Amino acid sequence: MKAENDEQVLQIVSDALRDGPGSPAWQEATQLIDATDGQELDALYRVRQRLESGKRWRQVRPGVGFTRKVMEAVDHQSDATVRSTGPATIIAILCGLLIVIILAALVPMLFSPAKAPQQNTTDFDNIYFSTPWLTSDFADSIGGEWNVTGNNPVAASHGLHAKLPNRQDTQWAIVSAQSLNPDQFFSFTTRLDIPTDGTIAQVFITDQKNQLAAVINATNVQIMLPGNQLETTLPRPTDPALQVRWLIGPASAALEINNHRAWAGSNNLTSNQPRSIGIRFLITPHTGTAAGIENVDVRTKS
Amino acid sequence: MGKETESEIADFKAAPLGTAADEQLMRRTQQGDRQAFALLYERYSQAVLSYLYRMLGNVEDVESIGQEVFLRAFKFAATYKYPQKFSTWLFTIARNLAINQAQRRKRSPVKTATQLNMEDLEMNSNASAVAERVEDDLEKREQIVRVLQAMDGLPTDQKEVIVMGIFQDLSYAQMEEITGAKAVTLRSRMFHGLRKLATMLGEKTKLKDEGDERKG
Repeated sequence: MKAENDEQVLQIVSDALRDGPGSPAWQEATQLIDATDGQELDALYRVRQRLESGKRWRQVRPGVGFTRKVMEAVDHQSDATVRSTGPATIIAILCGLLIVIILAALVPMLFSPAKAPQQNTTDFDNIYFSTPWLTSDFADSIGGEWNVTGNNPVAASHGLHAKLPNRQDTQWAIVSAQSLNPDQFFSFTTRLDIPTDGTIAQVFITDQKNQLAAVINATNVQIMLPGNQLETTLPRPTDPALQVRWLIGPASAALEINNHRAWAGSNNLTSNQPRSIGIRFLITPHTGTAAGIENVDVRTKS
Repeated sequence: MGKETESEIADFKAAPLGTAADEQLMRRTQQGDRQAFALLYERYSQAVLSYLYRMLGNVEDVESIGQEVFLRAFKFAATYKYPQKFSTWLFTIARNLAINQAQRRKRSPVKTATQLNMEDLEMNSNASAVAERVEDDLEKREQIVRVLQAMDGLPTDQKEVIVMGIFQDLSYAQMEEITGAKAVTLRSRMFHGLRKLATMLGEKTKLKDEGDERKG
């Protein structure tokens, strides 16, 4: 057998020997028995099959005593690390804490969406929201996926808009007809037209009793936690069209405005209640003409 | 801040611990999360202990080295670098300690622990017990016993690749990373190791002498 042929055979056979009987590599390798001098390979395959049958050989499970010893050693190691912290390390830690405290005081004052601080930002960094759950562009209808409420009729035509004008304060809202399980991770992305004329938009997640909302007016974005608690106020980007994206986990949430992380923290929603998503517009007289929802896209964790 | 650095300080509060990937748990361990480490221990303790027993063949060594493997994994968690597979990193520690132990002690005879169920380690996995459990055919059962018993007669490097690849289900790429040997060498060791077992079993082979083992 030529050297390169040998190499190829070694590759095929060694894959089969590792992967074992029934694997694709095994099927490929068994064809070599006919193609080459089969006897030598046949012997190897028989041995491999015996090993497959004997895979539980010397299988050991940890007993209670072993596990206890390991965990005690880990605890001891962990405590020893704390105890062995020297004065220099303590000073460094204190300096670090001081810097963190100063930053925590300064960040709200310096905040702008373009420089969004990375608070708890990584809760969602390794989660891919790839499974579509609800997608609407309101091209010519609202669709049965939504419940519409409010005292201002809305129409779907390349987006969702209220019929105006109004002579009194009005509001309209859409809420998803279906709800998501409280243990589900999902993203809720919407592109909104929110004119800076006094119109207020809320992009919210509700557990039927309370809601977590981003409240957007002409100048600010307010994060409102369940119980109507104001979590924080951030300056709003000046564009009339904004992309708002909520990332929701069982206990946590993050908000992105125009693809910049604006806030992250606990969502404070009830942990055992299904969650619905919605958008609400609050419109004062002679405002809200250009307010509307361009699209909504909700995806769950793959 | 680089993406890797960000991910290294990741806070995975949102991910349920039990379903988190090994690598996520390891990064939480790096932040001092002992619960995350306990889950990794739960996932890998059996594999590590079995690997040690298969390589060292000595119950006492398995117990002492097994504890040391996990203690070191916790103590030196900072040396784990994402995105390396956690299992590869852990088995590298286990292998190094096993080699040191084998060098320290000229391998003690294997203790046949037929029906042990001790507080510290549970095993019922000697060659005869395993064969009896899986095979009714007496002749095949005997062959299984013989091939397993013959494992201890293999050169260490061949035995190692069979244990890692077949019994621990590690890929050649992982074995390459753990042992530092090239894949072609490992493949060759697998081939010649099994051929040697076949010879020990009296299987007729027309293979050449083992001196022709390919070097990677």
